[in-house]
Amino acid sequence: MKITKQQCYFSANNVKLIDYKDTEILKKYLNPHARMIAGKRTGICAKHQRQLAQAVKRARFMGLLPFVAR
Amino acid sequence: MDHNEHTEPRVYELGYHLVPTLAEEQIPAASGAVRGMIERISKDIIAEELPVFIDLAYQIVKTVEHKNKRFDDAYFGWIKFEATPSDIATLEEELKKDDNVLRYLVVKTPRENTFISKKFPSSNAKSRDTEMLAEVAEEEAPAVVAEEAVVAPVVKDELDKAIEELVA
Repeated sequence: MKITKQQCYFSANNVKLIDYKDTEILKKYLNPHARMIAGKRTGICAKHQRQLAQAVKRARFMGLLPFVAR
Repeated sequence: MDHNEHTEPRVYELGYHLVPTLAEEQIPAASGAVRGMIERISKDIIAEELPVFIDLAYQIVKTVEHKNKRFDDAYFGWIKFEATPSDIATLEEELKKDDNVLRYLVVKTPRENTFISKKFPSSNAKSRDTEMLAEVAEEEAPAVVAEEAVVAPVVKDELDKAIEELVA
């Protein structure tokens, strides 16, 4: 069986900085309670996982994403 | 925050919410006021998006004249510009004084466009694609059935022949 290595979504798309206004993309990395999903599970590289965390926190402050859901 | 450690001009982005009590017609004036604050400190405005009405993810409380006002929606806009760090401090002070600004955020950012959901297909775009594919498949489906109908008799004939040969 061929083992396919999953590449980081942001590295694959050559993203310079994850934008906090991009809520559609950020939402993909939140669980139903609006908590961030761990880097272990997202498969994102460490650099972009840190950027993602920063972007999610900024979006929360600006009321674009919830702090808690349900 | 220490704004003095770095003195060269940098690219910043200001995201802001305007209070929803403003009417649609008052928005250009209010966002113009915010833009004016930036034009005073910056020579170069790189990109801008005018405020649009959005639902907030949670209730935001703003104290106006010693009274807490609660808002469930707001007009959200942003401006990307170049400025020196010391100017950002003055900008923030002005924004704090403006009663029309519900909340703001100034961040450092690269000059290039960082908005990627339009550039790369997001989950929404993907679902739209799959819907389109489904429609196409429906259109094609009858044709496929017809082909099968044509093929089936031939197969039946062959089968009959084979059975006859076996019996014989």
